[in-house]
Amino acid sequence: MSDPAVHESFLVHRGLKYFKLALLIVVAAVVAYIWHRPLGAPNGGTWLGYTLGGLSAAIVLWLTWFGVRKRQYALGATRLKAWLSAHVYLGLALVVLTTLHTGFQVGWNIHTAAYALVLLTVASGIFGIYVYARYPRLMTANRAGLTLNGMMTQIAELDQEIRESSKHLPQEVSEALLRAAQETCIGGGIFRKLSGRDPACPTGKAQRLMETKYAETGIDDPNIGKVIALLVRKSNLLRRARRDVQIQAILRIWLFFHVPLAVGLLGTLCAHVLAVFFYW
Amino acid sequence: MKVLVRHMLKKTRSGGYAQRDEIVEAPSIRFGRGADCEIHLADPRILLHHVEMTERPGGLFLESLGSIDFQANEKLTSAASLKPGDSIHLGPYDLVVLEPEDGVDGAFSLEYARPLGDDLTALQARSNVDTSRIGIGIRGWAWLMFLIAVGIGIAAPVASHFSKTGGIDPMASETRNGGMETLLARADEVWLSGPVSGVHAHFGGQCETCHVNAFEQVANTVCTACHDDAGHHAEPDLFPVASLEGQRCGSCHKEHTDGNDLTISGETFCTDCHNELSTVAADSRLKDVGGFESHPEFHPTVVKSHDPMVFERLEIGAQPGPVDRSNLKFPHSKHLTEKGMRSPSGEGRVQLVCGDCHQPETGGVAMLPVRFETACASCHRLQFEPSAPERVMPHGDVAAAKLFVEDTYAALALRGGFKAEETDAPAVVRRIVGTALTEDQRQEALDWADSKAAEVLDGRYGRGLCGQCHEIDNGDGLRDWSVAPVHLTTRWLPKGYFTHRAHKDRTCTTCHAAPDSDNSRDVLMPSVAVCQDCHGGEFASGKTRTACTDCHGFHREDLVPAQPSSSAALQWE
Repeated sequence: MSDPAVHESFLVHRGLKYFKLALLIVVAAVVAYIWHRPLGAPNGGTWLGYTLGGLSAAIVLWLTWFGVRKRQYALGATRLKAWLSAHVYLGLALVVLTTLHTGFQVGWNIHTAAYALVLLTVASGIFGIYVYARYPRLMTANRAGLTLNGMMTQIAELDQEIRESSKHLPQEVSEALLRAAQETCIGGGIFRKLSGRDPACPTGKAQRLMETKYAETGIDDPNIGKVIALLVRKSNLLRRARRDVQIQAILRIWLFFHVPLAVGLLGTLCAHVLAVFFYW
Repeated sequence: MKVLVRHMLKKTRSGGYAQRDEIVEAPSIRFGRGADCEIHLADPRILLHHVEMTERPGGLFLESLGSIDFQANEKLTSAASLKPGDSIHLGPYDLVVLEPEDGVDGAFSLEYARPLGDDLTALQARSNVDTSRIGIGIRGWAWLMFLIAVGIGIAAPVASHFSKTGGIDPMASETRNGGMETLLARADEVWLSGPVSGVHAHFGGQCETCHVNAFEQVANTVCTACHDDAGHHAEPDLFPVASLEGQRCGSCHKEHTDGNDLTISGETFCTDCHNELSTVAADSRLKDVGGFESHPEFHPTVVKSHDPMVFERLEIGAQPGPVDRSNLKFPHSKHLTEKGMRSPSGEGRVQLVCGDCHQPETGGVAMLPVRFETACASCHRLQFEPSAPERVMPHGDVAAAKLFVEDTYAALALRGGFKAEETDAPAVVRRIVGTALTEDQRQEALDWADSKAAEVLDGRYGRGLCGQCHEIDNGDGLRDWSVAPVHLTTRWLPKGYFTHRAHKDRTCTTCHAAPDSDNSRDVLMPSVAVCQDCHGGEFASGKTRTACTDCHGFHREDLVPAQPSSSAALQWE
């Protein structure tokens, strides 16, 4: 734990070593592209085109290998961080390398599909960097020491207490409270998870019902005040629990793009290389 | 401090508890879910570090470590002193302070009184907080993407290729009209790396037209099936360095790249060698050129001698200048004089312009040959007998012209009535028209006609008239002269293209100094410097950009084809 490298961000890992490496590759590629005067328009079929394409393909394969490497826990977290740092910067370098490889020629074909998948995969990766820089902190703050399971346990306990305190309340109210206890849920479909809210939450409805109802008549039964207070606590917990699910979903959803896009790219890359040599 | 913890375990049937005592010794005792807590409370409702128990003067003291209060004797608080009998609720745990026994600083019982209940199970069952799946997991989506990519990008095109026959005739109508239109047949179009060039677009969708066998580069025979006349660039025997033998057509003619032009127009493609040609072809007599700015002076091809026909290339602007032996006499300066020429009708003068004689051909590239009948005849009428102005010699055939003159005088003599200014004509010729002649008189008239014709032909209106414009070859005797054959140059620079059409908005004299030329031997080609006034090289600024290929072709038409024709190579032939 005393190793300072453990707390160093992968973005600045070892004095931006991989950033500099990626920058070097990009600058070399751009200089070569400007210097190179091919026969006809620049394209992927010149010697520089093949070089850039081969280099890009090798980088794509290596970047994809990260999916395997990150599961090899025995190889150590620090070196994994080096891998991640290189993964990010070489991935970004890929945008320039593949663009030059295309010679700025695009069309409706498998070759441009591969190029587009590179761009989309890198874009989803950039979103991933942003997400990992921002949301873990927000998640810790939102949880304040509780886990999602802990919040749900407290919510269940509050339901129990609300039930005990609301035995003698009017029919209309106790029905709303029963629904709040039996139908309130956290999360749901992917969009519900990502929204972090449930506009039709039975607990919120019950709370609003009681607040409006007793704002007019006034509170004579001490149980009513207690139930409202419990509902407020439950609503707050629900809000935090849903926010927790929202953050977890955001932390995960970019991978639903990044990984399938990357694997799709792998297949498209195979098709791209095959096509080039099949119809040579 | 040292405390006794009495864990109240499962309730027995009689209502009592199974107990387990534990001695905990530490400077302070933390309660929480964290593994480093002295008293580990595993329930999720407990914080990692929930409360801390310390020893203070007067007894034990309990303090909240987080933001959550605890209940001490039914009262919410964040800190409390403990005395025996106190009851503390820590979430689902109940803690009762006991009388301390000997050897310990304090004692309490700990019971997990409110385990997770049915409400929680039900809430968890209703909720969906699993973020590892969206319909299917990440792995599923990844496989789906991979299979789509491989299916569309590999499986379908490969199947498409093997479902078709290669080497089809690109000119066959079923090919031109798109041929097979089934989805499978067109599946390999996703492999198209760029638009098919305009000239090949008519069989564009049919990859197999050119890509006959898988994993084989397009063979030259596919190209030469149609393009069988592309000559070598230089004599392959003299300049093997420029030989195209063993080269692939596709090395230079790149199909499927952006744009529609299959030919290379970049200047450097030429100047790589021609900038310093001696380094690659020491024997070449071509002058070095590094772009249009440094283009050498033109060397038009002119006639050196007519018999035998020999041409030579002479440099424009050399002293003395190049001479073109067309066998015509034509002073441009005299015809374009500002005074104008005497009108053929005899009234006033006409100012001639270039276009009166030089007309562009239909395509506008070159000029039509100047023809006597259209350009010259209106002024240069080939009349030879003042008393018979309607008699005009035919042009273009000297023998026919001579015959015409002889026939004319014979007819005049036999018919009679000839009134010449000269009075030496015999009476039989000057008699009244219609008078019959005796045989002797006929002979006399024809003898006169013959000598008159000879006189005219060898004189001012025969030989002299032709000789105004033509070089005359003197024959062995009288009347044996003939007009020297005319050689009008149609192309001064046979290895370069030029179109007048693109320059039609300039006046002719911008380039051709015709008004100053008083001899038809002058070569009125402009110097390259005149071109360079407006034209620069491929990267010129401020001038019309002109690449080598704008005027020159790479494959020379006069040399043998660079690639053998493939008449037998394709199965459709």
